[in-house]
Amino acid sequence: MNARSLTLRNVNKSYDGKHMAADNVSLDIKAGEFVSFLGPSGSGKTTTLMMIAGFQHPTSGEIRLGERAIDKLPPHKRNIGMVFQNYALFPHMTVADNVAFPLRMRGVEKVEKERRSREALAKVGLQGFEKRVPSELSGGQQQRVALARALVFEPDIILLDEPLGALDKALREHMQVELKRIHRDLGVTMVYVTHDQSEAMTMSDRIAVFNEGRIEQVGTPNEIYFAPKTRFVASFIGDSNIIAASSLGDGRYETSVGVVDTKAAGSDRNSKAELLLRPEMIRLADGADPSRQAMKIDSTINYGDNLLVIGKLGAQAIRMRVPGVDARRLDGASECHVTWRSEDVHVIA
Amino acid sequence: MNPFVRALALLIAFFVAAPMFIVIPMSFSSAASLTFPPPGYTLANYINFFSDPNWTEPLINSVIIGLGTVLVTLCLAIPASFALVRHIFFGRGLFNLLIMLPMIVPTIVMALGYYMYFGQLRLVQSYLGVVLAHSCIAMPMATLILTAALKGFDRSVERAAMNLGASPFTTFRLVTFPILRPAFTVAGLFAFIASFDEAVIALFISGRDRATLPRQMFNAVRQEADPTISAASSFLFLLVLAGVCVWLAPQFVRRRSGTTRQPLENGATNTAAAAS
Repeated sequence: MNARSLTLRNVNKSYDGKHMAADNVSLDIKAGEFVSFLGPSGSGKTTTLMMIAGFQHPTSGEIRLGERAIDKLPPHKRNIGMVFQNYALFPHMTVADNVAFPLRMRGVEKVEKERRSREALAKVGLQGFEKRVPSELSGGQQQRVALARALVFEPDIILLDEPLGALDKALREHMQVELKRIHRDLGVTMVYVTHDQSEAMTMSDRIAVFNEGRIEQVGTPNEIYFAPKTRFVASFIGDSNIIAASSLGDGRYETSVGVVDTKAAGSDRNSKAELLLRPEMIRLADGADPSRQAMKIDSTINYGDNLLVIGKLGAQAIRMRVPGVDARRLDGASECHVTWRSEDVHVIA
Repeated sequence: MNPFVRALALLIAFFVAAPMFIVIPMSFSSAASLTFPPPGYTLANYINFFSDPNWTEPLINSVIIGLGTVLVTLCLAIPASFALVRHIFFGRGLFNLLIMLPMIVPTIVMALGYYMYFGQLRLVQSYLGVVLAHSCIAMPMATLILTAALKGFDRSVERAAMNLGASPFTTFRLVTFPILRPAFTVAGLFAFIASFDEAVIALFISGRDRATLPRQMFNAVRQEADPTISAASSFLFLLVLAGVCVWLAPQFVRRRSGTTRQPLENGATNTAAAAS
């Protein structure tokens, strides 16, 4: 399949002239890449997707698909495949006619059309469903038909708008694996909109985090998780402890939990910063550990495989995740000793 | 159900249907005037109804005017409904009110208005005049049916079609229209029925040349109590009943055969709710 790159350059969108639904969005997506747009509702991720598909028009800015500028083209001339949140299958057509629809629009002759529709249905594991109508299929099956319909005509790129949102948890995880397999097999560029951070983490090559119409950060799942650039990214993805700090130079920071060493490059003395410490990076300390600190335990939530401890280090509220096997040591305890490695502490710029 | 409530319901149903129990037997009566109970039974009234030009001409007029009303009403109500449901524009509330007005204004007042206004335009005693007036009467119901169906219509299927390569016109032809066809059919049917059994406006403006069936029935009962009128009434009743059955039958059959074409039915169900 012909994968193409997608470039958004200073794209702005405002519905009312005051509030920006998309605020100077710039993004380079490489050919064959799987990129997720992640953000809360109203963050501009869906607006941006709609502008790529052509259902919304940018107030200013440029969108290029490969070498082609597409921002002035109507949706039906963009050659983009899209999977909608509610599937948007044609209820009055059979599965076969649904999948063949884009080929019919492109004047593909009958034999070829049937062959390619059959192949596309095989790719999503729905052979033998050709004669059914959408209402006779389950949600997961409808989702597969929508996917087959979006890839049958070999589009330059496939957009997915929260495609798994309506499925139950087990089916959703199954479809995540399926989607990744199809992405790998076809090598097609995919843009995936979701508000589910674990979905974005598990599936994406890169994640673009949206907030209030802007892209806060673009990066690999690990960069987003371990090295967020803004406080919003740090708190939106995963569980977090964010600690106010002021620099002492050479990566040392004065905080409410004492002086914290980090591996960050030197910064100006007395400049303000925030430190991110993920709950699973804080560990129970041995009695002999010189770096250990006493933590007061306010409450615990037992997940079996891990225990979430909510408490205080001095005046600082702290959340800590203890692996289930170690958590048994904490039974009934009101205080424990904790430590962390300086390389785990991330300084939010 | 409470037996008393059941008895009451049956009584009301009988009361509503009572005229039919008199008119239908009477239509087979052998008497030369309208009398009940009939002294004997014959098909003479029906033969007369379908052969006497005094009756066949109004019948044909009614059918022509009814079909014309369907055409004009759909051509106006479909774009109006799309505008009302899909666009926000200055004066939308007022526009909606104007379309619904014929439902509120007494028909006799409208008839008088048409009589004077169409007189000046030389539209009295013409097909066009009656068709325009009847379309006005049919607009509110047709618009209600269509807007209800459109509100329940998921626009993402239109976006999907465009995304897959269909131009806006092709999208309407292959997706929007087929999905909404049940609503269009029902709206057209109601427009036809509204025109076919409309008497007041027809009395005022259809004139001798373009007399419709209800107008001829009124004339017949006033002038000579021609018993053919009972055959005409029965025919009118059967036609409307048949129209409603044509609409309901597919749903009934589908429900009986147990297939689950839920989304296809949605349009029709919405419109049924709007129509009731």
